[in-house]
Amino acid sequence: MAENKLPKKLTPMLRQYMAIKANYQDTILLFRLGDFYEMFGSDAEISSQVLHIALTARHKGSENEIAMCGFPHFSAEQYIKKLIKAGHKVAICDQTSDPSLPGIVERQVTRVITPGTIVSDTEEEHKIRLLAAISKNNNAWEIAFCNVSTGEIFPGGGTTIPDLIDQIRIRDPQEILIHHDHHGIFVPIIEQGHIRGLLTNVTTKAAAQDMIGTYIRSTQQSTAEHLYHSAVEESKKITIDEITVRNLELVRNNHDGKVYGSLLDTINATITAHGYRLLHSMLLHPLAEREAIQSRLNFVEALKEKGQLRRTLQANLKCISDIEKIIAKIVLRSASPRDLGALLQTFHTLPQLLEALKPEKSAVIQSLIPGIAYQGAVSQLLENAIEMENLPQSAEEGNWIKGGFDKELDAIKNTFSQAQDWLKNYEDEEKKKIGTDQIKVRFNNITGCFLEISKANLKNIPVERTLHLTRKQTLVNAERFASSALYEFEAEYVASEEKSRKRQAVIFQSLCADILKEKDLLQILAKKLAELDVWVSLAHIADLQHYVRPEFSSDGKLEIEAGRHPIIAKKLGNSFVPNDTKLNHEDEQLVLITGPNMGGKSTYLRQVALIEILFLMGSFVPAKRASLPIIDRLFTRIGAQDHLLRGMSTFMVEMTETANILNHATKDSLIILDEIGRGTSTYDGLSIAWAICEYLIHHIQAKTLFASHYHELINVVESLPKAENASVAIAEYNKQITFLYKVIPGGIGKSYGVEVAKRAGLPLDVLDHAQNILASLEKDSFHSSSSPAPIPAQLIVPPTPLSPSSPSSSPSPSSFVLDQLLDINIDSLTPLDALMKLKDMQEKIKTEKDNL
Amino acid sequence: MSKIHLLPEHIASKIAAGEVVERPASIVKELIENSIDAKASHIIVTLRSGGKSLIEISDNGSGIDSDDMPLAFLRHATSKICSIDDLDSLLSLGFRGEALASIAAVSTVSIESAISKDIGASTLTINHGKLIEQGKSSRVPGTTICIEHLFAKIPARKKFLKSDRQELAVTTRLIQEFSLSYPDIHFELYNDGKKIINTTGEKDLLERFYDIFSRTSYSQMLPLKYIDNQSQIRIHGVISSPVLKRATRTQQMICINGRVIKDFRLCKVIEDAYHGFLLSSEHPIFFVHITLPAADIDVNVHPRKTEIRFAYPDQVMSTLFHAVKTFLAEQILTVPVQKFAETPSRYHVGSPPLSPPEQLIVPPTSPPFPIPSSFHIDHLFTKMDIPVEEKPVKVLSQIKNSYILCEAETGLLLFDQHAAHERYIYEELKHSVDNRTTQPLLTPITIQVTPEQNVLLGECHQLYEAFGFILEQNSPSTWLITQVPVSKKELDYENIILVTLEYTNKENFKQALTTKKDDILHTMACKAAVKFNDHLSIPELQNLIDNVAYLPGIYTCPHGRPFRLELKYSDLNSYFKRT
Ligand SMILES: Nc1ncnc2c1ncn2[C@@H]1O[C@H](COP(=O)(O)OP(=O)(O)OP(=O)(O)O)[C@@H](O)[C@H]1O
Ligand SMILES: Nc1ncnc2c1ncn2[C@@H]1O[C@H](COP(=O)(O)OP(=O)(O)OP(=O)(O)O)[C@@H](O)[C@H]1O
Ligand SMILES: [Mg+2]
Ligand SMILES: [Mg+2]
Repeated sequence: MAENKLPKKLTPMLRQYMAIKANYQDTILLFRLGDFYEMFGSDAEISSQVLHIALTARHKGSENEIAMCGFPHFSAEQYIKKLIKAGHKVAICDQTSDPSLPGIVERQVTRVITPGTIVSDTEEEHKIRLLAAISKNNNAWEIAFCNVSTGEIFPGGGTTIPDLIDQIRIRDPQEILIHHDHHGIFVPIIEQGHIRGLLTNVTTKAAAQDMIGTYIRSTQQSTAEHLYHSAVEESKKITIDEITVRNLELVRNNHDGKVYGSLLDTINATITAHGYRLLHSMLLHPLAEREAIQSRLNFVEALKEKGQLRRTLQANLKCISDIEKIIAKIVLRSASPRDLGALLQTFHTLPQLLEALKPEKSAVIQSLIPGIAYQGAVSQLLENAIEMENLPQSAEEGNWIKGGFDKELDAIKNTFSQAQDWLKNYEDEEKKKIGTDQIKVRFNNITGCFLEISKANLKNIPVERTLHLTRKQTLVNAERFASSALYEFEAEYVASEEKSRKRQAVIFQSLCADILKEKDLLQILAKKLAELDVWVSLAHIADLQHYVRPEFSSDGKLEIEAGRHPIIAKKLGNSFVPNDTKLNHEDEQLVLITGPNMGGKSTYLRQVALIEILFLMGSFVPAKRASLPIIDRLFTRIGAQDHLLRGMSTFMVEMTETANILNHATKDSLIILDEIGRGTSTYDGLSIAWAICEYLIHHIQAKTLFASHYHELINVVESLPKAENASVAIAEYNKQITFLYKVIPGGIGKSYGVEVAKRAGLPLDVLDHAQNILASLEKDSFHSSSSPAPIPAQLIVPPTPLSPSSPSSSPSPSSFVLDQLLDINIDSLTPLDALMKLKDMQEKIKTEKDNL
Repeated sequence: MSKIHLLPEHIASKIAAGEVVERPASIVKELIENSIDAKASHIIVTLRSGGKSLIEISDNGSGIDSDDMPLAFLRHATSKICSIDDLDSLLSLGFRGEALASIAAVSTVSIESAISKDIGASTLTINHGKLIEQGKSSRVPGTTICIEHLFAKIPARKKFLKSDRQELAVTTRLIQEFSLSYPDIHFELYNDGKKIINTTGEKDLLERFYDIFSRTSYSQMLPLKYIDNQSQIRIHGVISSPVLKRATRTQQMICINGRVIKDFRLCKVIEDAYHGFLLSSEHPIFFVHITLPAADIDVNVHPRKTEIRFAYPDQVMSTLFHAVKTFLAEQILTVPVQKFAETPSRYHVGSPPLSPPEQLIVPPTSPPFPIPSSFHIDHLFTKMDIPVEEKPVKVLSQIKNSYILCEAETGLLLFDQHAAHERYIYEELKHSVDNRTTQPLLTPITIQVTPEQNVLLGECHQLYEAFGFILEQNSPSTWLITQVPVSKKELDYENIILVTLEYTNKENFKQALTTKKDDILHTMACKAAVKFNDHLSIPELQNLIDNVAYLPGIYTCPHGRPFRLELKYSDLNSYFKRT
């Protein structure tokens, strides 16, 4: 929108607007005109729609006509929030010179508010707003995040674009900063990947963390001194990739992306914002160190037994405000006396927390005490300075500073009380002078100072006695007068009112500065309160949901007795069927779970993963007893989902995820595989699943739970060492099947898919037909030699040379190939299959030759 | 649990039999007792319409074997006793084999139960005594029993059920009692999808007590433990320290061998042990468990099992008395004396500690002129001229902390402080109620309520409007009093509300409000008035007298007792022969 395109006769005000707007093209510019913020042109058109406010025009009918809309400045906050929520950025342009001076008022953009930088009080509860920045350094990409409300900056892992996208998906930032050179790469990814964050171009090319600092400093015109880098990780963490976070619904459900129904939601009983943020991050960063887990479990255990203490702590934690956010608001100049009040209330609450903790005998609980006692000076300072009642939204308003705190302010306020005396005296004087008691001297904001005489009375007063008065206002039955003395008084009064406002603002600034001096201490306090809150919350949930303290196992064993899926069991209560789990490195390293659709296989798999994560984050777990290993990584491959963003089909996604597992898992990993090879033909799928099973057992040797509908695998597992079959039980009663959801030893060679389809309401015709087909298929497969079941014993692949078992015991490839040839059913072989098999056999023979 | 079997006729006939299903709460009681007998550690009660549409009880106990399941619904089928002698060593709550049969006879019952050694659960549905269907399902080991269509075929019985809320209140109280009798069991109660009670799985009675009756209002509870080796009577519980007193007996419970018993004599024994600490109008709070050898009690007395006969009643009573008395005496030695002195005079109980009483009450009419924001000129011009008259009745002193001696123009006056104050408050309240005036409170008063009281208030809080109270629910365990009847002094509004709430227990509150309005006003006035034995300062006394000395022509308390005695100087003169 170049200026010269517009008519020459632009008013000076609009010319000023255009000049400023030119620097803020991608934002909606709020232009302060008197008591209003106005928007013009396309900004006005967008805003009027978003905000449902009337669109008018300036210079209507002239060639200068320009669309306009606006709202009063005092309700700006709510409107700005709506604009931000709709995904816009907002620049606030304020008047910076005294409007009463002649000439056009100077105006400047005082801050830019963006989805990633807004700090707001009326935020949806517990929402974590993040700003991300992406940069590239010597071919390696990097990403960093910042929670503007708390000032915490932390790096995201990974060096490739998919890594970054993973990070973005886990964290769900509101806004993503990117250098404009890289804009082109990310726009399509963001658009196709259903990523919600707003992409913002910046011109700084720097490390991602520095980009964030620069951006906040420039948009907020602030020192941004509250930003801090999250403490160097004190203890080792294990990585959980984005896929697992999503599969297990750790922090968001998969249904609508909200927190509701996630593990976080299920185990969250935190009260403060600090606690919630800590719990959230603990879930995403499970620990890998025994001592660290142990120490968390100790806190939970100590508090679990203390219902009464917990209730007292919880009641007091309700009075703790978001300290980190208050600091952020101070730095970003959007704090108000109410924030100071909230901080003071927090200080008032600390002694009560301490009082509740002190009588406790447990050393674990005692160790919480030092962190909560605040050593800084601001608590006393605020105590001396502020009046807790009726704190105003703006520092200039109200009487929120305690008498005695500031001499200058006291002196100003003193003139107010003298003013009362003066008015009283003046009234008395006038009563004498005019000769009646029926007069009142009053002062209000609209009329100012006046002397009121009722009309009835006025009639009886000789005119010469009121000569010193001038008529100010006529009411129905009274007249209000002014006098030179009253005018003088009023002027003096207004002046001291102004002085008091200015002084209050100054005091506020100095209080803020004092608070910032203790920023580090306050941030530590916030951390300690967060921990207390989280321990109380975990103990509360453990008590209410009957969780137990998990034990540390030796030799990597995993044993769960009567384990429950934390989310589903909470919903179903006693209808949820608990199940045992046993995984180890001797005889039950891989467990294959078969059984009917809807039988509870996926639930069981996730339950084990969730229990392990709860353990690693230091929480009690939903089971009767659990003895769990510390793992190096948790891998999950669950369900099927297109990953259009990476340009991959369902099957390709499945295979990429599986490849990732097979390439990275170790003996100490825990692997959850929920159906592999579904998105392809049965034989391809089965072969892949089969091969993976063997590879997991012989090479990776990680503890694995594998759910599958390939019943042929049952026999495979039977013949493999260290692998066991299990299945979800059902009961057939009166020709009806009932799911029992109990995991029992041994496989089930039946999926009851048609049965389940019936429950889903498939038309009867379809069902009948399907039943017939199934029956004949099952019969055929029994007779046909091409049948994948029963499995010819020879087909079971022996451990390849990589495995420690001795090569001599395995049949030689050539005899293997012969068997394979014999088993081929030419009638049912597709050309592609034939080609693949040929290649396979050729390779076998080749290796045999090479080995000779 | 052992097998269920039918009791032979000669045993069955010796067991106190009779109607056990009267209302939803009686079903809940029987079913919870079954769950407790099955060693459940978690019991969930779900109701619809206060239990009139649905009662569901789900436990994690031992469960019922699928073969036994149909048997459980037969009369005199039990797994708990085999012979009548077993009653002498009875450790279970059930023994008649009666409950499920009686319940199934008047409703539709579905049961689902699993035992840990089986996979899957069995289900069964019985409709008014007839077996409808059997099946399979799944659940954690334990039992869920679901009752619908209660009294569907007996309309006469159905008519006797009270409103949903009232039925719910009875069940809520019942579960409160169970949760205090079994602090190691986790109880949950829901009605129409709303949580009413959710205790945690605590082990300790005191912790459980505070869970039900929040700590803030009952901080002075003491854990009592006492064992008499000779009689093998064990007593433990929580009892209130003497500084904490209540105007009613609602917070008292006695539990014998795991059964809540309504035994007035035992309650009286405990109250007697408080003698000297409390006045006769004041009642302690206690939840006391008494455990004694099963052979020393007889539970086979009443079909509803709410009574017990003791083999040696005197021994039980004297042990109980001794236990409480010595315990209290020890407490007195350890409680610092000034704690007693500190107890605030009743006169001020209603005022929240933070704000002085004057600020609390907004004048009913506020001056309608604008007040400048930072300038408070108003009082200059609106100051009321209160006529400052001389005081013709002057307080001389308080006698025995009960009577007020005054000097008047014509003679000496003696007032009964309680009766006089009661009368004054009564007049004020009555005036306020008759004129339908009420005053908003600047800072609402928060009252802590038990789950039961919460349910009752939910039912009848609007009825309090007739008395000038506006009550709003604030949280599941607190209500706010936002408006109160007009009176010069603040009263103990919290106590007034909670005491009058008792009327709801006895009869239909709505009726009581119209026919017994005056009674309720009396109760309110009585509870709000200063008591006999309350020490008051001279200004407080003068304040009281200034109010009551001029009630026109009224010299009796609302109950008709006189509150004022005048000794005329002329009579004095003639007595001392001065004329
Ligand atoms: N242990 C359990 N107790 C009670 N209900 C359960 C249990 N496990 C699963 N369910 C119920 O069964 C439903 C289906 O379970 P799940 O998705 O795990 O079956 P599945 O065997 O994986 O089926 P599919 O083979 O079709 O993937 C769950 O949504 C849950 O409602
Ligand atoms: N929740 C439960 N868990 C396990 N078993 C139960 C449960 N409820 C009932 N039973 C079995 O059913 C039987 C019959 O129960 P019922 O309540 O009718 O009789 P009772 O408890 O033996 O005696 P009473 O009539 O005194 O209650 C019990 O003896 C018990 O074996
Ligand atoms: Mg599944
Ligand atoms: Mg019973």
